[in-house]
Amino acid sequence: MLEVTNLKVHFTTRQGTGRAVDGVSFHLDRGETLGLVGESGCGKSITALSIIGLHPRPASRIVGGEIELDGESILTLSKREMRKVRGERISMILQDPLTSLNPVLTIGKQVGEPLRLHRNMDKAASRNRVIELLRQLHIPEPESKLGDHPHQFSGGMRQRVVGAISLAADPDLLIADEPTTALDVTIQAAFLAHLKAVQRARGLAILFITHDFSIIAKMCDRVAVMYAGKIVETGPTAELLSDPKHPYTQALLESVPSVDRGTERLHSIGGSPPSIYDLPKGCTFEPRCPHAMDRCRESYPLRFEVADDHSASCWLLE
Amino acid sequence: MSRPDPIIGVRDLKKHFPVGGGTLLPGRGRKLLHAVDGVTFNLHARETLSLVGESGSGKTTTARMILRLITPTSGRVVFEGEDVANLRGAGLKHFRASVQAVFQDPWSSLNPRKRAESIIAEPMVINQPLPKEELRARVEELLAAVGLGPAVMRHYPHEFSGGMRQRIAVARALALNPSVIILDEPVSALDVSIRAQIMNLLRDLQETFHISYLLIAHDLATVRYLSDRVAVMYLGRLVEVAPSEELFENPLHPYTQALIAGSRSTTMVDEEAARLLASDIPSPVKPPSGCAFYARCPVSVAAKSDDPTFYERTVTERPGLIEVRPGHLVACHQFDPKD
Repeated sequence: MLEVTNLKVHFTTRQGTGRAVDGVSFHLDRGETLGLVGESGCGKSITALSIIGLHPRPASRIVGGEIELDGESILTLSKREMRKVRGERISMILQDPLTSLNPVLTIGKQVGEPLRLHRNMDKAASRNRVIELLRQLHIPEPESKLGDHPHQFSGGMRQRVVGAISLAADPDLLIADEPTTALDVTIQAAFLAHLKAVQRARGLAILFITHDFSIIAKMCDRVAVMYAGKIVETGPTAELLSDPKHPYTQALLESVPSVDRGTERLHSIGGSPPSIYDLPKGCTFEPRCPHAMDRCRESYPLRFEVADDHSASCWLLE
Repeated sequence: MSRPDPIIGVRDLKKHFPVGGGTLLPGRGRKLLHAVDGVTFNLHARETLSLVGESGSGKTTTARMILRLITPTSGRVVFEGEDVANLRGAGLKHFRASVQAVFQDPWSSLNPRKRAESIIAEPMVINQPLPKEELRARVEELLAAVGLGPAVMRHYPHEFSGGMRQRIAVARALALNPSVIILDEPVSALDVSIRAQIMNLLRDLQETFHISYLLIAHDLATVRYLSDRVAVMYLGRLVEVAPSEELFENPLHPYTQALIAGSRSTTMVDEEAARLLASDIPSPVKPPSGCAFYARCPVSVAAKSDDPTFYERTVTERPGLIEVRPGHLVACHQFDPKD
């Protein structure tokens, strides 16, 4: 349904050209959840924002590649057409529920807005739909909450309201950018369960952006690991987590503590990710890679298929 | 816990903040926010005790009282056998030097106008003046302990990455040879690949310098990796205290169980449990008179119809912290021998 091919998003600033997204390709089918993992600054959020055309402008620009929704390019759409796509087919949940709601508008108005703008519903119909949406996300007594303002809600409830807004117009694709990082663990578990239930009911495709592998394991069918603007490995979740092929994925998994794992010493990755303004000529992970070879310094590795639907970009796999 | 002489003992510690009411007419409409509501635990030599809990559970307020940054409403913090509130002069100075802290955000905990060298040297300049040469040698030694070379001394905080800044904050905390370091979310502001570096560093330093850590964290994976014992807080109260391994393998309190289930990569909570968990956390301004967790607790909610007497108890009677196994304490009516 969503097909991203060789997407490149560059930033132009006084520091020069920053290759934030540097040739990213992936696809996402209906009813499927793809996890996009990586550290901050690896380009995962910019990738997501550029899909709905909200990457920061004029600082950044899509300089190459293609984004197709059901076979049609959305990069060539006019502003007006893009607005329609954003409202009706793709929606997004952002990280912080506190800042993504308008503090001076009532909950009813905010959840109902996409319905009136994109589904041409009248007041009464949208009111009923809003109540239904809030009920689906387990907001207690939704009828009495329509006139409330965001500050009257707790963080977990606010994130459910944001969820209700993004699902209001019944989109085909939901982009969730770290939707639970600001939430407490128990509230997070509840929110993820709700999201999964809605997905099952509607066949929604979800692009889930996170740096938390325990969430990936729970939520995603497939995972794409990003490093310095590129996808370095992608594959089915269980397989990628148990048998990672790229040295970065391996190192990342070994460096993350987990509740299931205990106190066995973690292997940390030395150094830090490269600056997007000064990427190495060869493999971007080479300076931190324990297996680096001469060849890695010279050219960026090709993508090698290691199993069905599982591939990684590393010369070791040749 | 019958182990002798804890380094720090916390005894029925409470902190109630006044909220509401005008500042001009205090008293009117004034309510109390029960941030910490009767917390008791010990921190022993060379151990890592973690305080875990979600936002608003009172873990940071507890730490600030231990550091004597805020005054408790009631209760005591005992350091090496003495009530911290009564410390004056040399005693207080000794306490301040012995109990250090590393905070969450290395971007705001280092003075941007000072070089790394003076940041790390400052505690020594204040507490134990050394000749210039010795001071510099000591700073170099501390930098080496946290894995940094002497070259960083001349640089300012903005020139460092998050991981390096946190190392500098740790070096500063080590400067006066403390016996206790309070780590308030020491890795949660850092990038995933950097966290392991800092966690391993903290473990190594504990080994080398025999420090006790009081770790405050919400991420249970971090807690499991670093702790010997874990204390779980909910709404200003301790609900469970146990050795780390025991707590993660065999959590008894329904709240601890929910926390651990939420952090595991394998378990997905079902719809019913999710609805219950998502229900609202009671306000610390009007804490429930019974168990703080009853409204979100599957056991209590199930008892509503099956066992009304038990349900009534969870609503009205505050459960005490009971030792159910050596070193494993839990505050839950299910484990109260009165039943």
